[in-house]
Amino acid sequence: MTVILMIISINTVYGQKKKSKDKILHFGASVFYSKPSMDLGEDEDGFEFHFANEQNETIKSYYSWDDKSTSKFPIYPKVYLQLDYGNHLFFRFDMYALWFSNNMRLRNSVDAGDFYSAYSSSENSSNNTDYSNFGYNNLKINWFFIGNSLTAGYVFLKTKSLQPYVVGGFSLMYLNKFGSADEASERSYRTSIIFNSIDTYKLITFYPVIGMGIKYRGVSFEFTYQFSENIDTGGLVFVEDNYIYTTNYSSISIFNFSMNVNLLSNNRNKNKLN
Amino acid sequence: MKTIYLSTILLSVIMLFSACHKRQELDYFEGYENYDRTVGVDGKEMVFLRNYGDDTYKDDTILKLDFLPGAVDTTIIINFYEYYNETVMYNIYNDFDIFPTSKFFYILPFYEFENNNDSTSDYKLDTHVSIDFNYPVNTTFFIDTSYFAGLESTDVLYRIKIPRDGEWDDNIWTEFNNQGYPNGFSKADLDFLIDGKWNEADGYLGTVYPSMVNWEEVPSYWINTENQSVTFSMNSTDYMYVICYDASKKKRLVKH
Repeated sequence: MTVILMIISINTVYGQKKKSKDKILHFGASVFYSKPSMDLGEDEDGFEFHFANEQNETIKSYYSWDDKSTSKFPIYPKVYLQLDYGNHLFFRFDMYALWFSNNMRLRNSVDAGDFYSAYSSSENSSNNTDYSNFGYNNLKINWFFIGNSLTAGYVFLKTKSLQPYVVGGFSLMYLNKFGSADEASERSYRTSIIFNSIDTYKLITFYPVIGMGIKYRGVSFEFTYQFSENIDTGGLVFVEDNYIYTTNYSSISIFNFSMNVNLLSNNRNKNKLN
Repeated sequence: MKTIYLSTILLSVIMLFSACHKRQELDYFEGYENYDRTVGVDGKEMVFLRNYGDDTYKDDTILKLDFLPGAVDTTIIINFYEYYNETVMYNIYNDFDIFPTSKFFYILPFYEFENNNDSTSDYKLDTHVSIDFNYPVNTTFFIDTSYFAGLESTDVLYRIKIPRDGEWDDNIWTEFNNQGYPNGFSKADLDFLIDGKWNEADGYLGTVYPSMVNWEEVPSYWINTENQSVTFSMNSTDYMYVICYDASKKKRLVKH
């Protein structure tokens, strides 16, 4: 279906000679590879919990990630509307989804061997030898964002088939889901307490976007970079027997590599003439 | 026609965006305060939970400590430990007809400090932090029925003195784990206190003969056989406790 729409699009619009004042509206779809990188706040702002269990467990925030982000298949979908204004200028509005996981590192007061021997003998996990389920010194966090971007682009080499271009604009990302991964469910009570303290990421975050790409007719390949420091609402976290107002995240940067395909195109000037 | 089609697509995008806008609510648990082993001048009820289960605040309680306001003068962290050495207790069985129905248990106050996981720290962490509570701390200890047979109303709650720094010619050492946090008292020192080889009269290892010289029955306590617990008042951090069947008191019959 996608291929058919693309062929129709290319035949109906790109087969025509484009005039300098033509306004062509495209509906397209993209897939993009993304690698978010999140930085955390200052160490002294971290939370601390003294859990009254048999291990006398004290958990402190470590404020780093084990890895930048992980996703089994880091390819994400995007749909867009793009208005080509003449030969050089275009405007694009898109909507995309982005989800990934990362591990927040923690300090645990208990030696790993003692911790694992204590919890691996628990009733709930008598048959479970996967120690990662107990979240000894990390918590796996799942993120799911819905995003919108509004960008403008400028196309060079209008007479060539391969046309490089640059884009710039802004993006809004909506944190749709945030929570612990299932792997930590063996310690759900402890995990939920810790999550309560790190849930200070803003619901809506704003990002400037810059990028560059190259297009051939209805297909384009594009690199974009978006970055934001203003991502944390700040919140009450439990530190040294008191709730204090602090922030957990300092910045996030996201590199995207996308392939865009115009599926449907409509020449607005032609319609007017008709 | 295309205009209508494109408008529909645009509308769908906007609707989808609106539908996704509402964030999923998290199912948070409340009540870290119930699970926090820090106490300050305001007092609190502190509940230690067993490791098994799902850390939920329900039926797997080991120890309840009810600190009244003003019971302590500053904020402290309470660590709780259980200890049992079958070899040491063997002599106690044979010589004194004492049979434990719980492990030995004690609390160890802990002051948090900077860099406590730094092995190069100059802090002296290995001495017994002795605290006299301003008001008695109502304490309830629940035995581990998966390990011991169960409490009976005739059982006896004993306490064994943990000497303060230099009080009995020596100091009981606090062990620290690889993370730099307290890991209970030295097990050898605990053994010598239990079997009396370290006592007030003879000092540290002043005698090689096991005895119950350090044992004394807690003045007032209540054994609840229904929920398998013992309740008593704790006035300081200078004792470890154990619940025993004491044949010498002839409180119940036992076959050897």
